Amino acid sequence: MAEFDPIPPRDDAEVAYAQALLGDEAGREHRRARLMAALPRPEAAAATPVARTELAWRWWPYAWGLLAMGLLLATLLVLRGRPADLGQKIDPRLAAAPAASKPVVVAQAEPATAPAAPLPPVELPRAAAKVTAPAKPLVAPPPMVVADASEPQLRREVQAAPPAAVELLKPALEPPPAAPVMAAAPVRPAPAPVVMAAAPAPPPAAPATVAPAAAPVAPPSQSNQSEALARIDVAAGLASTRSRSSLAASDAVPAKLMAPADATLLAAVNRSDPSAARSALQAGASVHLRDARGRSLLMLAARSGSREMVELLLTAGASRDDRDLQGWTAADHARDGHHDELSERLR
Amino acid sequence: MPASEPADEELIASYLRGDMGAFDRLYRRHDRKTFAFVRQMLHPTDRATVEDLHQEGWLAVASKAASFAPGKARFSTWLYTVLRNRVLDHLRARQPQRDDEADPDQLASVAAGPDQVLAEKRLVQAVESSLLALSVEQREAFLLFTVVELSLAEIADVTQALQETAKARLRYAREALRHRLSEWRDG
Repeated sequence: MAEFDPIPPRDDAEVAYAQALLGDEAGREHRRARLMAALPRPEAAAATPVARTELAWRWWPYAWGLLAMGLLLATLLVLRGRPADLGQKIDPRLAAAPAASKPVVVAQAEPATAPAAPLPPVELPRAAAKVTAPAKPLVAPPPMVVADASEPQLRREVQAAPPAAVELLKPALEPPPAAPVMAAAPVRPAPAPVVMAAAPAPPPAAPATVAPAAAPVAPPSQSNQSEALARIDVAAGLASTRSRSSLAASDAVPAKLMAPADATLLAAVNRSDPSAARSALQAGASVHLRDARGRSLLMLAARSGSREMVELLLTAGASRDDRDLQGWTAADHARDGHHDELSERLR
Repeated sequence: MPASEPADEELIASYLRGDMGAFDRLYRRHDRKTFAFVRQMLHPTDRATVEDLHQEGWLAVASKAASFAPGKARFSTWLYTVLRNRVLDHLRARQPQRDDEADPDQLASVAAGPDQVLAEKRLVQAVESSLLALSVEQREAFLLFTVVELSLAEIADVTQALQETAKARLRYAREALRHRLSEWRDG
């Protein structure tokens, strides 16, 4: 490098000057010992390089752990989502099919006899009526067997039912309840909500106490509204004490509110009372009522074997060709109830 | 330096791995020049202060050893950069000294030496007195060239100046000292 350095090399005087400085040994060992005593020991661990592969392998367990957790969460989500999808596909009407291995007997309601203090029917605001509507359960309802209100049919089902179901059927065999609790959806298109009359059905001898459904009703005062709410609570309590024997309390069909005339007609058909049924029809009751299983009044009358009731309903316009959810006609129900003559009449 | 001797870069690496003896060997290899450089740069500071500052410079070298990059510069260049920064910090911090403040160690050595030693001491004294007339930049250029024996490029690296600038500083310092040195040469 010296040949490229344009600076002249050191002369003798400069070399002598440097040697004089560098030859000074005074205190040199003392300085060295002093420095070495104060010299810090380097952090060998920090300065030691870490192999790349070793560092990489330290991260592998964490990566595998994260991957495993992700797969586990995904599996749990899939498993939790599957029953929900299946539950949505269940047809509530199919849940009530009679082919159940573990029956829950729901007895059809019968109309009341004479209540202690019959209350006049009051049309309630919609919001108030919703108070007594049973909440729809989140789980799918268990399958159930619906027992007919007709006494012979009930007794046949009681004989075939397990003891637990007999206990449930007992209220149905007892005297009629104080209120009709069956929800019957009319077949005819009726966009307007059916208003339930929570008042008990009148005794058979005095069906005229039921107000027509179309009759104008004055808006209830506050006291009347409270009274009506109390009556609704009583009706709901009666329904619950009957071991959920009402179809309205079942999950298959939400509780529908009925017109008083319809309730009276239904009660009359259930107890085979043609005169009460005639009065109800005159009061405006619909002959096209159906229960939760799609059975019409004519089917119920045919199953009970009341020829007079069948004729009355046919005269009022009931169709003998209607089919329930099982596809049965009124004639099929009559034959199932061992009423062969009536079955032939209905064909 | 013999071929069997490890290079400065190897010694500093050994020290970083925990070998204290490697640093001792490194110190012994450079301490004469580093002490002379610090001593002449700080003249006329007393010897104890020079020794303290010299030790602080080497401790700074030890603490910064991990930051030394062998591929970027020679160890000697990096070493004098660290020492120079320490010296300049001291010069900026200290108060200006009067001319009558002399180094007692220097006076003692002058009084007690034989003829040859006495002549060398007088030469050093003569140069030191002339160094006071130079700026710090000219002084460090002269010392790095004459005592430490760095090349012009290395001097430029240590002083963080352009090579032409370092060259001009060195030429001016040598011209200024030529008269004193010729006097000593002529006896």
